[in-house]
Amino acid sequence: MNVVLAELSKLRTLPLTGFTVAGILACTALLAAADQAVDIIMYVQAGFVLLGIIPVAHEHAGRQFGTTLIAVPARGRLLVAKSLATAVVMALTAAATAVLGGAERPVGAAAYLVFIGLFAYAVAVVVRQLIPALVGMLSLILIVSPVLADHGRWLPDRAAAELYQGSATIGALGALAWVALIGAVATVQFLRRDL
Amino acid sequence: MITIDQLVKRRGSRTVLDNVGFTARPGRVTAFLGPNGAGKSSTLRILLGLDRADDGHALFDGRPYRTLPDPLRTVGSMLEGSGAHRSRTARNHLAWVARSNGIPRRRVAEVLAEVGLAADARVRVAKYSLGMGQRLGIAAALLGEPQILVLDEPVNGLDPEGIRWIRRLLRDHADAGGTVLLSSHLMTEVADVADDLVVIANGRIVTTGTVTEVTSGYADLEEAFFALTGVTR
Repeated sequence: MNVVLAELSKLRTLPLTGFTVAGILACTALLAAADQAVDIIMYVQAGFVLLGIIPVAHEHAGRQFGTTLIAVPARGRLLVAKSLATAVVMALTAAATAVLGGAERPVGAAAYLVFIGLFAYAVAVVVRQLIPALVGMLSLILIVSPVLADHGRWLPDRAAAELYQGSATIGALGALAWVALIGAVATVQFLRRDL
Repeated sequence: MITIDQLVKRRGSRTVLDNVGFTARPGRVTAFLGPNGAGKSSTLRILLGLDRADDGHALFDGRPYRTLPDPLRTVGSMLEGSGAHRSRTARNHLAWVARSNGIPRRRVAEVLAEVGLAADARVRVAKYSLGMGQRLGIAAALLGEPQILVLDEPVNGLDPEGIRWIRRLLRDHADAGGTVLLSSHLMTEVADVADDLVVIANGRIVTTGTVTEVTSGYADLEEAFFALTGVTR
């Protein structure tokens, strides 16, 4: 429990986390006020990608990760705690976004945003650095996914979008399958790597 | 008591550590000496559970670091500078470190005062000088009131007053029965404070012993160091 609280404390006292959450909520409010027709979720998901990457990438901007591993050398415990803390921040922000944005299916929309954020988090655990993780994730959701159109229905973001656009069951299964896959790769990496 | 035994670390085809072994005993300051790249940091990183050894053991009172519960209460350590994110304040940095090991919050203010950073507790680490960062790293090491201290190049970046302060701190810690292991690439920096020396060169321990034992037969400490590590002036 102390480790989860420590991870939450890290996120709370990092200015970038607050800016990102504030940015997401401000964009949501603006889009909601401007036009009912746009899919707000599609726009603000980029913010959730950043919110998922920050907990991992900020550890590697400088030497903080060394401090973290010295404080919590049991890596399995550390990864569980960090994932929980990230999920808490993500869930609260997603819920606020879904409500503020007036989503038609708020639970599905919030679940989708949490999924995108956690998927980005798992990618960040693998690649560690902010820029590669951000570029990879944004290319997926902003370029690859739209370009492939119907051929890309199995892509992580498109499969999970079913959560609020189509069948919630299919969306949930798709999201879980992708999180399990990338989560497994991330876990193995996290446990085995030096530093 | 720190016991390092037959440590081997390979990176690719290069052997970084070749059967490294030594001990650091309670009540004594042990200096781990060697030129840059000799294997000091590699050894300390394995000792602290950051990297894995290909062979051998590195133990604190018989236990590997990774198995210590709330390790900061047993071992205080510092590797290269503050170890803090630059956009965080010193106080917030130490607060999460304390929380992670169930260390009372009051310790944060106590260690900041102890290392002379009380006035800069709410300043972002990005604005810290090299020496202030070093002091913050030492503050984190002291947070859990550990019996054992492991410090990688603690003197780096400190001004003369800071160097005197850290020497006093390490001496007092050992005199109170604590175990102190510090690394340095400068023999003269640690000679005054160390009881025991461990000298490493090219990934191998070349000698261990008390300061008198290691330097006997040489004109001075520096000559001993250069002769032992094979570095030519």
